[in-house]
Amino acid sequence: MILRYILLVILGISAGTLVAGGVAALLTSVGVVTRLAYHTGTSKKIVHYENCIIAGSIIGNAVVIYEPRMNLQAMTPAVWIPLIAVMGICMGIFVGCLAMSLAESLDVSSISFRRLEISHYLWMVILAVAIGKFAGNILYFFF
Amino acid sequence: MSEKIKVLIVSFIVLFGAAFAIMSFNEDVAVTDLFERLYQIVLGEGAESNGILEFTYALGISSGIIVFFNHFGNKKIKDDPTPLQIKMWQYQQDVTEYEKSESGESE
Repeated sequence: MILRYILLVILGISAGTLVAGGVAALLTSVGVVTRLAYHTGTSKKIVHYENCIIAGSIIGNAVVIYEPRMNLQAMTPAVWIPLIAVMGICMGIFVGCLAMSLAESLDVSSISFRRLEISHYLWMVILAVAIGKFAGNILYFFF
Repeated sequence: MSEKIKVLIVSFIVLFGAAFAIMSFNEDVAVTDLFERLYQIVLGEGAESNGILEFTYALGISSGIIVFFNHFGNKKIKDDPTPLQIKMWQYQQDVTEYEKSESGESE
């Protein structure tokens, strides 16, 4: 019986280590955090952003596995609406950057813009993509 | 002062973004259902979840991420540069090369 528990422990630790390596490698190789750090001119604090990735991953994983009930609605709405709004905006910015940088690492934009020869009005296409993503999200969540 | 604000904003984005990435990954592969199935396989039928797999999974995730990024808080584990530092350096190299080639062509 003890052997079964030892097997469970080994399974858990190895599964966690591999999953963490995979997610961290995805975030690193896609280059979201490096781009955010570079364009805000704070590229010297990249070690600090790594700390944020570590903390965010550990907390997010604990929330999904254990599902703690926090019952924030017991407080007044003025407290939990800004909290959830900040969380939503930050997650949205990150997912948007992730989606576009995945599309860019596949060289979709550069090849298609070269074929269609619209490199002068690139900003219009990117604005259209942003508006389209926004409209698509609203339609998905509210209808 | 404005640099501190920028660092704060980007820190929040990266924090919630990394949490979202691992939360959506765990939901996609349905980890909690998989753990129930594993408990049934290893401990026999009708076993309820003990909390062992969940705890060791969380432990494994923490240690995996810390080993991958090679530092914990302010201390480094080995004397290598961290992966994001190398990526940052590569990105800056690319931008410098691009600017050099641009100014070289326009001359």
